[in-house]
Amino acid sequence: MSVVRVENLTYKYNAGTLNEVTALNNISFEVDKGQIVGIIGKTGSGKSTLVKHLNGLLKSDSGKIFVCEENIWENKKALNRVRFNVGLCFQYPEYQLFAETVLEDIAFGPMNMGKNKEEAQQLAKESAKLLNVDEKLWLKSPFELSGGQKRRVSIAGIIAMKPKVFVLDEPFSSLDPESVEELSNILKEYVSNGENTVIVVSHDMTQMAKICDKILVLNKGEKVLDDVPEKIFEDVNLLKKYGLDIPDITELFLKLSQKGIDINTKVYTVQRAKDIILDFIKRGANA
Amino acid sequence: MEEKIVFNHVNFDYEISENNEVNNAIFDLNIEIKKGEFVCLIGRNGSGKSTFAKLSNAILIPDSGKITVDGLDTSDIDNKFEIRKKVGLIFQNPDNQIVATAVDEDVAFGPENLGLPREEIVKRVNFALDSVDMTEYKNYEPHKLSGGQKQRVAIAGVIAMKPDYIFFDESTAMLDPIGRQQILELAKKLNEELKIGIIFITHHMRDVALFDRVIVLNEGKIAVDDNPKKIFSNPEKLKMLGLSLPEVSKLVWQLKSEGIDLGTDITNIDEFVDAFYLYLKKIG
Amino acid sequence: MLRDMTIGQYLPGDSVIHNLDSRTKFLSSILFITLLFFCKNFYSLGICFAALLIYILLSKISIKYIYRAFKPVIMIVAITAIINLFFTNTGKVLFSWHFIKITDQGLFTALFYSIRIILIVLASVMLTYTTTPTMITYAIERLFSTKYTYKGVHTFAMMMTIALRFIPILTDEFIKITDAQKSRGASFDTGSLTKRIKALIPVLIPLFFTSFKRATDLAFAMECRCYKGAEGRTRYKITHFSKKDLFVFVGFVFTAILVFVSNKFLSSGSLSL
Repeated sequence: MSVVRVENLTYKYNAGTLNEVTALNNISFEVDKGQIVGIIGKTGSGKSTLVKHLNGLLKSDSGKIFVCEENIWENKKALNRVRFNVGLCFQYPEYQLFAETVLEDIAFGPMNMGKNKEEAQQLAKESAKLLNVDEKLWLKSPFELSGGQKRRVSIAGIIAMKPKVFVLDEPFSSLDPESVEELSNILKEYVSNGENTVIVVSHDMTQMAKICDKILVLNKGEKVLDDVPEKIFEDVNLLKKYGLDIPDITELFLKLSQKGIDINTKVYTVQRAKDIILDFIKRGANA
Repeated sequence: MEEKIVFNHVNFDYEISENNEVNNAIFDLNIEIKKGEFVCLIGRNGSGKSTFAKLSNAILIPDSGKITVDGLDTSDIDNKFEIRKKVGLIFQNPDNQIVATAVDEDVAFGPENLGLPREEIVKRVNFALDSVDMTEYKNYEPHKLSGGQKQRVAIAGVIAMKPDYIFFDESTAMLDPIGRQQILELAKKLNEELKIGIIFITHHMRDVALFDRVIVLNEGKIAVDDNPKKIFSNPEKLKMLGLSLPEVSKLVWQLKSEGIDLGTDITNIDEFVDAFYLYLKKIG
Repeated sequence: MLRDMTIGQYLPGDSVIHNLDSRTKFLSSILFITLLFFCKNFYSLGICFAALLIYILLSKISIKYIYRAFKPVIMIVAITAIINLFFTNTGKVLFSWHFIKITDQGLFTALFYSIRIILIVLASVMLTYTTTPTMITYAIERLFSTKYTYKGVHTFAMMMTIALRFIPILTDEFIKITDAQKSRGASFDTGSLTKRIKALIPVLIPLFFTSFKRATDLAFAMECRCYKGAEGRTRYKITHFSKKDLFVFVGFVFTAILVFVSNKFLSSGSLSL
């Protein structure tokens, strides 16, 4: 069942002036419950603009957005609900930390939702645990933490609101490989109950290929592809035309095929690559 | 005298470090980096990579031990400017290192500080902008440029100082793949054409394979100092250091566990393709 | 929006005006604005307008930007005009209705002040449109630097350059942090005034924090590039006074003479300021 539905969304910056720029052009898509959906596209393709629409930070000129079957611009109350149903985590979220203690900062969202202090603290603690924020740090000032820890605390601040749809803009940037892996696992865990949904915007194709159930490709404000990763990474030339990277493994298999090795190139993860190569060698041995 | 950066039993700790787990300190570090080397510096967040860079150009002074740049001691205050001229530093956030409000004026900032004659400054600005391929943006305001372009302006600013070494302190972390690729290629070009020693700090394991020498820092100490082939032939150790193999090397190791040995010194796609081709020939 | 700000904006170009010495542009703008306050009637204002028009045409700045410069000051002009129109009681009554009385003197003053404000805005905007902020600071530095003041003047000029450089960055940052806190349910447009001010804390603290971080980074970056203040520093962009600059000053003197002549010998009938 779809939890987010976008219909014919168009958005123009500086509408009606000489500097008018169409940032989003007639975009429609649906996101199913329990999935991790990726949005990719080169810088300036409209990804961040799209994401800001999902929780009502930007209002489009035309088109509709439904979250949990509710039109988000229907009335002011709906919009407030949307803010809490759709948790939006911006790029470099560590810049939004402000409170005196880590726990207080994480509890900011829940407090705004109208929870009482105990409830908010409880949610903050749960969320901190989910993000592996060490208990020793809970009462420290968020400004004393290292970069990686700040990232976790700020993401915990969104998760504490228990959003049904959790949207992250470039969550992996500036993280070391270990932290990237850890965050990917946390996202997978978040959707594992089948109720929550995650939408990720990222340039990291290898990581996107690994975690996404579905990927949208944006180019110049238009949605050009919308499919499962297998299909998305099938047409590499098309992706390159849109200014995108392709996963290393896919590139590797394309090179193999260019070298005259007749192998299945629809591959984007190490696991699948191994299977295909094993299969290929077995078939060769049989023939 | 040989041109090189030498760390001799260097210790450094930040004064405010309540959080002992991650404090970017450096412990008893010994290392030599020669002019003209193409080095990659990796390690998890907080392992001391940035500190290493800042120690190298006398922004930070070691608590104990000695650092010399082409024989000049960094703790001698009289050497400060000579060392900074030799060792350039590019930071992560391009916005925070551009001073002026026009591209060429920013590139001129360093040479102006050196008190060079105007004709020389003009020459250097033109040369530096040309080296980073930004000549056509000469009169642009920095905030109108993309992240990658801004970073190239910052690099031009350093090149205009005619440095012997440039540290890239996670300078690609905030860029998109296109910007990242351009900066990487630029670093290679500067190394090859201008013989500048490059010390490239990054988290992207895929880029590591391009360097001649890889230094892994862990908790302020050097954990590994070797070529990429050797580094990637020990995946357990890498994992312990908070790092991962590039995708291609991961595949090599997975295949090896299934009995398909392509050789463990494969670090990039082309090497894999060749090795696999040979392997197929061998088994017929 | 904050992004539409034209004040302080520079429009790259290669016109005669763009290539003038920045000291010339800086001085002539100040002199011109001063001259505007000496204007006593529409004739002298008209002369100033004509001079400025020639200046604008020479700069080849498109009319679109000239218009944009007005937008932020339209309200100020309107308010000044209305105040003058309704609160001037002297002169011949042209129109009256209940307590509202419009006199010819009021109409004259309203128009006069409006045009003068517009000309002041235009003159200052023309300075920033055709001169980079760095060159304006350079002009200030060169004009006010003496053997005794050069260190202080340089520091001031450097501070100004950096401030100008970081205005767009911090504006973006402010918008970004506001959006981020809104996403966490913060609300900035409801409740009492104290509540609204309190609501700004989650925006201001991160903004200060990142500004300090940026400042530290920038200080490092400047040190890395051997910055040591005014001592021993040379200049990349040096401008010399040339014939063009002389023309501007001659043009100014000519305009000034015309203004004083028309002030003295031409009058707007019985109307006066």
